[in-house]
Parts: sequence; structure tokens; C-alpha cells
Amino acid sequence: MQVVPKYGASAFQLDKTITDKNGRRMNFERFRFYLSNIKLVKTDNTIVALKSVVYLDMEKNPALTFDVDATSGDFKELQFSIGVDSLQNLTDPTSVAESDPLNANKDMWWGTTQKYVFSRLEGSADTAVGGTGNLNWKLLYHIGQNENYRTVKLSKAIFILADKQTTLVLNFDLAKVFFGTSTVDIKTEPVTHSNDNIVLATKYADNFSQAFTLE
Amino acid sequence: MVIALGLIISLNQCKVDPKVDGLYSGTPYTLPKLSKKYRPYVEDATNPMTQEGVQLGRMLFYDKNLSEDGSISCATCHKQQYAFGDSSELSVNIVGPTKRNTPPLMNLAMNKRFFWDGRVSSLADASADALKGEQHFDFNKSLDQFRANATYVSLFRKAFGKPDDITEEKVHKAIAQFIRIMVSVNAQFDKTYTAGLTAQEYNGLLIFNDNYKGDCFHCHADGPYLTFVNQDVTFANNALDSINDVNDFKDKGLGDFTKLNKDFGKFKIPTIRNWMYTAPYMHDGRFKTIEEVIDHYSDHLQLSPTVDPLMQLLNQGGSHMSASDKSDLIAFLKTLNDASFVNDTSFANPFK
Repeated sequence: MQVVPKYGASAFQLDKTITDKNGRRMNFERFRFYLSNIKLVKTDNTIVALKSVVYLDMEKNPALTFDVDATSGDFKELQFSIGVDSLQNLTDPTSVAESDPLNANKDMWWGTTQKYVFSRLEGSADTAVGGTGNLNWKLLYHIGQNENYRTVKLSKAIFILADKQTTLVLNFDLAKVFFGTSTVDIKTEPVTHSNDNIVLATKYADNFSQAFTLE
Repeated sequence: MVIALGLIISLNQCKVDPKVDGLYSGTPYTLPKLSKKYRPYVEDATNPMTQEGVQLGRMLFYDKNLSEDGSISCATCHKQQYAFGDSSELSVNIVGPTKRNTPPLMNLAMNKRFFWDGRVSSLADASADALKGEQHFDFNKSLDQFRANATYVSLFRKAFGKPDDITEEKVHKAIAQFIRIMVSVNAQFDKTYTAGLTAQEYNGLLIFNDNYKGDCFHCHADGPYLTFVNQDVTFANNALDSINDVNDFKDKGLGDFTKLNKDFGKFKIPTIRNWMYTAPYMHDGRFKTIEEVIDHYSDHLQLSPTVDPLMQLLNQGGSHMSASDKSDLIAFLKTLNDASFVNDTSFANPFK
């Protein structure tokens, strides 16, 4: 599977300046998230689990690809969730292997109270419309906590043949995180660590879950 | 005929004099086993540790013959009393000051990038870089001195086996082995964790973790580990200087190494463990006291193009902590100092 990050019609890359629809420039340097409970639904409604949890870090894996083992068949829907589920969220990050997506070395764990960070996006902006200055306005969206776990269901006819590699392409449009069902305003809403601004975290998590489409 | 000859040679090689061979076998060295509260050691299969390798590294670390004019050793700048850092602003080589503060050495067996600009990724390479790059050092003279010294000859043999030539590479590997044993895990906070904190120290811990007060944890915590350095976000620009153009950074830091504009002005985030011994602070030693460091983060953040997004209150110059918050924070930070580390005789000068 591959998540293809976009900003509107353009490719989204780290450390590359984006101009939003309001003419404000921004640049992101870290983008990481968990996807969990990735499943395919067959046309007869049988569910095939593909992966319990995957960690995607655009700095280390810019193509955001990951492998899943699927059985062959005719499928009608892809399901996945953003973040780690409430059970996975109880994991002790020091007790799993270093290669495990939930290991502490991913720097995606806050502590025993707040547990795992589901997604982190960090960058800088110039909030002046049409501005030309340095990007001195810091943006930091750290989303976590069970109530911000979101499940996505995308319908599409998918045929997987035996003994043949199939790539499922999942488009992710970062513009929809800021201009989705709700608006996340980089000027007035630049920072959330979830517990300090749960309203913003909720809105952000909702928008994030609506930013995916199956190609 | 060829086969028969081969057989004779291999038979000869099987004839080993155990007394002589013992000269070439070291005793494996195992780093102290740490609890899950500490980040696991980074394994280095290219440099297996031995008791003799560590002992050799310790001697080399303190040996002034490892400088061009016999005037300085590693320990000249990396002093144990300062947690293997230095009290001077900038480290000094045989020709004068360098542009950076001597980084303290501790828990580096858990690290993957070294120097303020992260230019090397093994401790042996760090040793090579420090000796040759920073100190402009010619090795041949020193190697000859080690070759003429029976103790060194014996330790090199035991630490590295055959062939028993004494090489520059072995010098760096031995020094790396010694640096790996510099493990600091005996601060008050290690021993009693939150349960041992006074009310003031505990409040300091809350401030350390508070996004709108100390906000230290984003860079100086290590998730569940008590290492007190974030080893994932390894480099950051911490808003020290007011700069408009990336090319104006006096020291480009990580950018010196990567040549990428986005890395200009970024430096390795140091551990705050043992800070009481490691003043002055920052890559250029600009802050003499912990109070100056905290005042910087609280009140004097400066704008420049590559400031890390984790410096989230950059636009207002910092979080503007109250005086009591600052002193509570310092009270907590004091629990991260490990006196046993700076007094541990197994790291001390073996020639004294």
C-alpha cells in the first residue's frame, strides 16, 4: 500500500513551501502518523484483516509505502483507522521490539497518561496574506487520545489476484486537513497537543479522516 | 601436489602454542545491564568490547602522546569533573580555540550521531575526527611510541588479536570502547523517580513537561526513557540568534555537514543530565549559568529561518515563566545530576 501525500492538486513534500488558498505560505518539516486495523471487505461482506498497525514517517519514508499480505478476491471496501486503537494504546513502548511500530524509538509516545501520539505535523508559516517574510509562525499539531481515534471506510471495487503484487494507492490531501468540513486556521489555531486544545484536536482529527481517497 | 602442499600448510596452522596464543585473546566486556527505563545501547558489531580494549582506550584517552607536540590528550578538554566536558567556552586545540564548546561525554553508547553538527555516526569515527580533524594531528609519531611500549603492545594484542600491528584504527576503536563505558544512570531522579521529589522539585517536573511553561520535554525528554535527550529529533535550531537569512548564521551547525539550507543553524540537542558539571552551555558556550539558559528559553527567543516548530512560543519570545516557576524548574533539574559519574574512579586517569 502507498499513501500519496498531496496538497490540493500538487504533491506534498516536507521542507517545501506550500501556499494555501488564502495566499499564506507554510512549510512542514515533520509528518508522522499511525494507521491501524487496516482491512478489506469482500463483496460477500467477509472481512480480511491486512495489518494491525503501521507507522508512517515522511522524513524516513517519504514515499509512505508499506507492505500488507492480502488474500486474493473481489473486495468492495477498504477500512482503516488513524492512530492506534484503545488496546494498542495501552502498549508499553519499552517492551516491544525496536522494529515494532509502537516502540519508543519512534518518539510517538507522551507518557502513561496520554499514551500514544496518533499523528504529528510540525512546520512554520508566514500568516500574512501574500507575505514574503520568513516563516516565523510555528505550527504544531500533535493529535492523540482515544476520543480522537477515527475510522475511515472507502468504497471501491478492488480485485486482488493470487501470486500478483497489487498496489493500493491511498491519496491524502493535506489541504483538507486545514480546509475540510471545518477550517483549521493556521493563524488562530497553530498549536494543539490534544489535551490543551481538545476542540482543535477533534476538528483536526475529523478533517484528517476525511482527507483520504482511494485512487 | 598442490593439494598435498595445501594440507601441509593447514596442518602447520593448527599447531598453536597456547601460551603464545593467550597473548592475543582478550576478555569480553559487557556494559552494565540497564532497566527498561533506559534507552537500549546501540550495538557496534565492528568494535566488540573487551576488558583490555577498554583499559587501552582509557590509557589512550589520558595519554598526551596522542597530540602533535605531546601537550594535550582527550582528557585535556573532556574532563571527568565536568562530566567529560570543559568549563571553557570553546575547546582549544594545539593551535588555538575551535569554534565550539566541548561536548560532555556520557551515555554515548545510546547515541547514533556525534558532535554538535552530527557529522559522524560511530564513536571510533568521532575519535578519529577529534584527533585528526580538530587537533590537526599526525599519528605516525604516536604510533611509534605505542609500539615501543610493552604495556601498550600487550593490550593492543589482547584487545584486537592478530595481526598485532598497532594502527590508527585500533587507537580509535579502543578510545570508543572506553567512551562507551561512560554510563551515567545514578542521579537522584534515577534512584527514586517521581516518588523521591520534594513538592518544589515535583512542580519543577510539571513545568518541565508543561507546553506553556518550561516546555523542555519536547527536546530534552526521551519518551519513556530517563536518558533526558530526545534521540529522534536529534538536531534543532533553538532560537539563539536573530537572523534573517540562513547564510548569516555564524556557525551553520548541522548545515556545515549536510549543506542543506534547512539545516543551517541546527545543532545536536544535548542531554541535560549532569548539567551542573557541564557549564558553559550551547554549542558556543555562550551561557555561563543554568539561569541564563532558562532565561533564554523563557524570555529571549530570537527569530531565524530554521527555528524548530517545537519552539512553539517563538513569536512571543518564549513562555515568560514566573521567577518561582524558574526556580522550581531548576530544583527539579538538580535531581538529574549524577555525582557518582564524575567521581567514578574507573573513568579516571590511569597514570595517576
